[in-house]
Amino acid sequence: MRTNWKVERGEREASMKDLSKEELEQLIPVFRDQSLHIIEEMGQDMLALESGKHDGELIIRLKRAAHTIKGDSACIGLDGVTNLAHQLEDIIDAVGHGEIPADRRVIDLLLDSLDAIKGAVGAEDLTDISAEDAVRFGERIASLTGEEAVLLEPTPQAPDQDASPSKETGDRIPASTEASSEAPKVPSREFVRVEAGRIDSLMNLAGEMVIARSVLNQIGPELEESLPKSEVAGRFNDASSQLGKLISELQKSVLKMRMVTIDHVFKRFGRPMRQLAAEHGKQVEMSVRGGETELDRTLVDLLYEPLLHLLRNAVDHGLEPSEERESLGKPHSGHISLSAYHEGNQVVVEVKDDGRGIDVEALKSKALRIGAITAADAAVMSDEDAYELMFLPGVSTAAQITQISGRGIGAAAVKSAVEQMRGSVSAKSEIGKGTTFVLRMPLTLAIIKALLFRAGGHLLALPLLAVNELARIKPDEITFLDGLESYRLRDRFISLVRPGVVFGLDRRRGGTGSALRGGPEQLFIIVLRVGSKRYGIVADSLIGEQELVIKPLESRWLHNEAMAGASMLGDGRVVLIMDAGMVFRKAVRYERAKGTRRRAYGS
Amino acid sequence: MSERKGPEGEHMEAEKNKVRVLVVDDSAVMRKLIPQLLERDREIEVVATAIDGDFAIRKIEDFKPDVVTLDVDMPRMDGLTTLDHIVSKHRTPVVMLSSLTTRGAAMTMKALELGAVDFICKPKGLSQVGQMGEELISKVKAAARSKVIRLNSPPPRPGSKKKSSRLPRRRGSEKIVVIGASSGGPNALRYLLPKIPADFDAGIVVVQHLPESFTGLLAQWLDELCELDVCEASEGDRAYPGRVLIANGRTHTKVRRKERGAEIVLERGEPVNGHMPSVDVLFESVAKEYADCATALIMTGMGRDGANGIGQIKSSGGYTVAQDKSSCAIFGMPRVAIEKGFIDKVLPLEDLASHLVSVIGRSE
Repeated sequence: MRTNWKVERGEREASMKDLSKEELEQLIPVFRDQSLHIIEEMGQDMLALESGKHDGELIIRLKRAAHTIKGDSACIGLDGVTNLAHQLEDIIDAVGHGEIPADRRVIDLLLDSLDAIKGAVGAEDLTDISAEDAVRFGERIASLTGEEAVLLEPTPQAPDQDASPSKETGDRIPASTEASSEAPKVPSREFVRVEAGRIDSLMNLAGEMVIARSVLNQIGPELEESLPKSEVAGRFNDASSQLGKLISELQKSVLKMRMVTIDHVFKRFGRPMRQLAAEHGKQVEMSVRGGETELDRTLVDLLYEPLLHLLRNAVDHGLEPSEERESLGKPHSGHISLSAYHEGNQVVVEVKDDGRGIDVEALKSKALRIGAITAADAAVMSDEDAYELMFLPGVSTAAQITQISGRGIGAAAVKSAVEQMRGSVSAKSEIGKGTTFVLRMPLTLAIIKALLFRAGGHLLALPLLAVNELARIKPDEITFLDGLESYRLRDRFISLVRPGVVFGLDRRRGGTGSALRGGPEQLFIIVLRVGSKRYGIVADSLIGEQELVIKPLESRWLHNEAMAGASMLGDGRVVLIMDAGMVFRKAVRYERAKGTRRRAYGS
Repeated sequence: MSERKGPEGEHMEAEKNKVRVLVVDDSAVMRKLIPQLLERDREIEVVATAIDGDFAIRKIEDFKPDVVTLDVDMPRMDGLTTLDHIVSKHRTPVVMLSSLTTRGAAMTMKALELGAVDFICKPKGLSQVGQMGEELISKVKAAARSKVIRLNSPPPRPGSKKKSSRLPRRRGSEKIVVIGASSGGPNALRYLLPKIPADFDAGIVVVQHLPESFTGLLAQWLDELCELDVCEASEGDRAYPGRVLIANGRTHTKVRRKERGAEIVLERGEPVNGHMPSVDVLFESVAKEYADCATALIMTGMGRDGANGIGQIKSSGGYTVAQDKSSCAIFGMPRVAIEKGFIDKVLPLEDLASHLVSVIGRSE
């Protein structure tokens, strides 16, 4: 090696010089990750290019992006990608020089090429662009420079991306004074791209420290007890509380590191929306607000699908065709707005359209037909409750609901996805005016504020967000409705759940108090809210509120969806964290359905 | 590299004095790949990577690397600006990473002018990666031993652009001057050639190790600075007094002695000493064709290309000159030639032009 400059080039072909399998394997994830990131940004930039609102910067950025993909893919050995990226670079260059117009045809080609690259790069095993595809793209590219562009149908309005002007949140970076008057240029800031895994492991460590800290907290009093006169205990306590503060700060900082702006997901809708609008021949304007709202990056990824679902449905079914809109006196193009904001410890995302709205009666009758509700239920059901029906699997797939109400397939899927994020989704609507879906999610999935309690001898926790209220009751206040335990909370009966039963930790069920050894004549009901429904969990004793770092569950729990995770307390005890939504579906609905011979939901 | 120390010494040093490298590239893939390739060599340690110029500069301060590898084309503070800063403030040797595009080549030439020690082209395919790795290792190691040289004399005056020598096609001189250079060469040539007057009485043929997209650019670049007429050598071109021909990067270049100057013969084939064009190939043909009418100069560069050729020129009666250690960015090729006893005169870069003029003379 040391004298390799003496070696003839011919001999350099020797295989040891090439990248080993291991080396390549280390390189590929980096390549994939970076390329997908770049491709994402290129997609945005290409749309901006089409909208005509672009400057030289955009061209430079696109060229550089294509250039990077070209260079990187060459090293990985994806020659097809290298080649196509090279051609992309050329096209962008030509557009930049005004040799080719940034019309629909060109943008389509750019986007298609990008998709092809994405397909190759994102595939499980990297699969290079096929020779046929390469030829096809080659032909399309050649035709660009050839004859004059044929005028296609009018370009659909590009979704308005500029509604969210600020790219980054203000609070992360102290706004410098000079970044005001001039162009909306984002002042150059320093960012480090860090592998997500590293932040996660930092998060984990911070979590461990929280646990370690609570051990210290417990030692404090013991120390005081065993050394009553010594001031050591006092000093120890001071130090430990100082450490505690620092650890909380650390944890917050790490949490902040994981925060990204929701723009990351909002931006990705530009293309699908453009495509959808074109497919359905509808005029759609999309506006985005609150793109700078921050949330945990894991949520950002998880949010994409459900939001896309809602947007798609809005275009597909919610918005009327232009002629119909005009005859109704509505603006020619339909409007969909996507907005996000913080509310307390939650992130709220709203998807709002100004389309047909939901026909509540149609929803009810469908739900009735599949046996989800009774006629009596339907008669007294509030509109708010009725919208909930849409999220039941059997209801939302119904074709005619789709037609009438404008809500289609997958509302149930949206719901379950959102609940996986420990969030909730609800809908409100006005016939003829439009529909709004509201998604609420915690800021982060890594830490939750939880209510700790004991039930059936087990230490359990529930996310505080789901807890509506607490009630202290006497065992005989539990009554039976349809053979199931219920409790009268003011004017309503709510179903009760005994955690031991749900988790199969405790086979004893039914009869009052049979599962409980708790306080002599006292029980607690934790009233939880899931959507618009409430139910109660029976607890022997309440322990208190605590921040918990959620850990993945051991395999023995994996089958149990009612469990959101587990956490460890300072003294090493393990707490199981319940998923309020799943408990509701598994226990309350299932049991109730069984009890009244209705068909099962959920499972 | 191995020439300086014995094997044991080398081993000892490998443990303690690794060449510490900072890798600067905006692509995460390159920031992974380049360290992988460099650290195949036990004597190299990548101490840090940086995503852009700002970070690079900060990390140079923190890590004090021996060598920086720098991507030419980067967002924000671009490669050239970064390079300028590194060279003027830190004087850390920089090896540029370039692409073979026209734009890449132009920026790279500019980088060499700004004081980059050397450059490497990014691979165009998987099959070239291993080769790039070897090139990286050798160039980084050479760079670690190099001096950062910035020649600040923007030579004579590109103002006197119109070259008097272009007008008459002179009688062919019997003499020829051949120059071989590698790393650090473009910059050294930029210093040397503009100091040679238009009436210099011999044609000049230069082999500068460069990939093919760079040689034309180098010629163009030098042409703007020189009184002499500089162009890239094509088949059948004549090197006559007043003219400098730069060997192209696609082929080897040889000469045939003709009445009105040396005729260029291009030869395809395998690289020699790892190089295409190779200095040895040119020098050997010059030794054969011109014997004692040849003057050869070997300049800064890594490796040993040209040593044998200049030896043949000397043994067939030609006159041989080498650039001295103090002025070489990388004192490799001249040293090999000097150690073999093939060199008549060793001179610093500043004195080379006047020496050549005094040896060759000026035409009437």
